[in-house]
Amino acid sequence: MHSLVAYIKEIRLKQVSREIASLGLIYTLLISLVLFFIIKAIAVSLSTLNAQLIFCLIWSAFLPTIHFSRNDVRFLQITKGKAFVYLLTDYFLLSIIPIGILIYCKGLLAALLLLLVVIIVALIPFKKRVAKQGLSELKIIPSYLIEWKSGIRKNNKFFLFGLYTVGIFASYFPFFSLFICWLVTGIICGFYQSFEPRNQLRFHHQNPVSYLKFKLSNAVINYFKIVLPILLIYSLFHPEQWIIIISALFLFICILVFTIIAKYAYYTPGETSGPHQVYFAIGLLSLFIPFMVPIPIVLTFTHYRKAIKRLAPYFYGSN
Amino acid sequence: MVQIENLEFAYNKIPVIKNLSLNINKGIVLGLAGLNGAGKTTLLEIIAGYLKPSSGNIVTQAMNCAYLETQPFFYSNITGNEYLTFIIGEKQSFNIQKWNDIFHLPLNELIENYSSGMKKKLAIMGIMALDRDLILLDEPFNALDLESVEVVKLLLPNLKKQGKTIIITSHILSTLTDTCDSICYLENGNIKGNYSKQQFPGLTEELLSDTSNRFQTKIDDAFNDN
Repeated sequence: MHSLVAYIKEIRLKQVSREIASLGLIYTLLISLVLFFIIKAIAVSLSTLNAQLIFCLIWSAFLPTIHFSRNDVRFLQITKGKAFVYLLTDYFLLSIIPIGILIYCKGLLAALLLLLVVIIVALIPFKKRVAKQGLSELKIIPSYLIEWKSGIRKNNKFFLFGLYTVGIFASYFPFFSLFICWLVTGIICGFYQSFEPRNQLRFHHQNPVSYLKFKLSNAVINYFKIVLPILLIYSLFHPEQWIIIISALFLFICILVFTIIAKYAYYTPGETSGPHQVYFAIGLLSLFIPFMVPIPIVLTFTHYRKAIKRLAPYFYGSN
Repeated sequence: MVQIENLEFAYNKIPVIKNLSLNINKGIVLGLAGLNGAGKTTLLEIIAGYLKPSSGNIVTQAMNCAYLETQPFFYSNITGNEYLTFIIGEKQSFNIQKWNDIFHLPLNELIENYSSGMKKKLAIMGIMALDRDLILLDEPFNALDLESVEVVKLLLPNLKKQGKTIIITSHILSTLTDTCDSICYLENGNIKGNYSKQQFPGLTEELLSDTSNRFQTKIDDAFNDN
């Protein structure tokens, strides 16, 4: 059992070091600095028990999403009795920083609760997702938004619909709908975390600029269609917050655009993850830390050229 | 359709294609044969415009080509039907149902639950839906069941009738002699021989005549060591 824990630790450390290596020294330093400030900002905000419990709740909601979207189920089935130890080590390693922050902030109760959640999540039975005959076609989503179809399936459409409904019906409460919009933004950005096959790039496009413009414009237009109703209803109840609503919408769109551009700046066909996921996290968290707000906007401009350059070889024949 | 002159290509300074010249006329089915590592896939990727040659000239219609990869890769969490609808886009001339009557795929299921043969069939349907003038098929018969192999063999003459140019790679010579107008045999990144339909009978024996002689002694040695 001890060797399995050591083995998992070693694998995860190797994965992290590989991701760091692929980022390069400058970006690693930049991201480390940003992460340091994020942790610092979170630690400052966790002075009350309520804040510590909310933090614990957010992390507790994050762990099951990882658990139910694991793609190493077949491996776990082979490990049989050791699957629990494997999952426990995995989720403990993943939660070690939040637990550390809570202990640092003297939030022992929340830290213990989080530990309990780690154990409970590791105990939840897992099984390989098998598609049922007659799987819902999601016809409401246009055929060109393939990432959205894939993402909605991954996230469970009933959960998304529930979240959306809560966002609309809770418009009366200040800031609640904005928080839901932030969550929806995060989920939609999450749709752009997998890389498409290289063939797919050229199905309807002749060059990287046209491809990227198509992706961005359609993502933004459809994002508007989703988020605008919530914000409009929210603005009816809180007209005095119009500047906050417009600013939030602007920032949400910036984060979405930044996520898509970061994805293509690190495009590697056939891979499921890459350094762009770190940028995705930074973009999403930046809304809560005022000094970080300009970062996604600045990075969008710097990464746009990088994305075009990265995609160019896959359109080489168009030259 | 495709003109290649003195083409060179290297992966990490290791030459894979060496001074290769080839003309492929419109409306023919050309087979690329050769041992593993002979450069067949690399040549297809250059024609498809995915790889930039180190030197030489190539005139191709890369952006008007459909490329079937050896192991097709699909976006996760989408159904076969969604994949095909995505390819078709605005174009309504492709009838998914009629084509699926040929391939019998569970189009409403997630692609990740397909077997490798089913994935290949879906990719072939995708190639049909794309309706491009230049079709590059890298090992199209791999993983297919007997019936589907025959279906693909029947598709090729129809595509040819439509004026499409098709290039197929395979290391199984018989599949090429059954379907192609001519065959190029690649060896160490260059064309060792160019064979027309009249030369197909006896081609396997000609190309592989010394194989059993060369390997029999080595196989005997290996078994003796065991």
